[in-house]
Amino acid sequence: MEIPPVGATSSPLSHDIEVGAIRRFAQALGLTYAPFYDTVAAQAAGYRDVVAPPTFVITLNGALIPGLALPDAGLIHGEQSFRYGVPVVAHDVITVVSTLIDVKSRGPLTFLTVETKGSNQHQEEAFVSESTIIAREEILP
Amino acid sequence: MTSRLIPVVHRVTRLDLVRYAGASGDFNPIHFDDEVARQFGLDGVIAHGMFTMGLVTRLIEPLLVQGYRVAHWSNRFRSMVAVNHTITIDGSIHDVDENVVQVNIVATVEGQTKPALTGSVTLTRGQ
Repeated sequence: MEIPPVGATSSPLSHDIEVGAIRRFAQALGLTYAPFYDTVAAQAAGYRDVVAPPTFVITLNGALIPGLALPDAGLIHGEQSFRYGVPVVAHDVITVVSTLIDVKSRGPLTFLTVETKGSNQHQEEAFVSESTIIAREEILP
Repeated sequence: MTSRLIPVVHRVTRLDLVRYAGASGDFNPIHFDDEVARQFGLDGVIAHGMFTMGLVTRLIEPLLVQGYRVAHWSNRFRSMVAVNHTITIDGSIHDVDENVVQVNIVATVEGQTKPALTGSVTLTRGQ
């Protein structure tokens, strides 16, 4: 495992938001809210287009953070938070940037918190995600 | 004022996890391959934390229908959810004001005292 200093940031990565990807994600969770599937229902509810379920944004990965190398196995997702701005809808282009914002060690466990900010094609903030990942390996000196 | 949402009760199947893997792009084999899961000391495959979190969306769908949108959502993953176990998600609603509600969520798994997930979701409308 290699961990860069706090503040290390990825290059931006853009994702095209496909309507099929939103629908498949909603189906995989058994969701029934019509604006997750249907453009007309979404527009009636005040969205520009089919809207992504709140946790869909976890699929909009950032590019690799330079210097961050985690083991392939033994990672645990400890905490997750999302703050939402302008809703993510079908046909948006969402550009994400990930930053390592916190590193803590407790015994053999290392807690890494990565913030991922997503903004849309109009440069409006769509979401800020914070993921805390627990790795079971000591940081190399 | 505090009120409860209708709990979500769901038995997590292997098909759920395969479908979620495909939909999310998270193909970590501990979520669909028992052999790999056992290599990591598990009894068998476990749900993605984000699958459990995603199921909470079902709990709050009645609020979405009422015109609320999620503004903030935060939760901790506190224990693993093994496949073929039933998960129950409970939510209590606290009205912050007329157009803001906070839902405190707890997901529990049959036969486990420690919750799988605890957290809160803040929803707003008309803003």
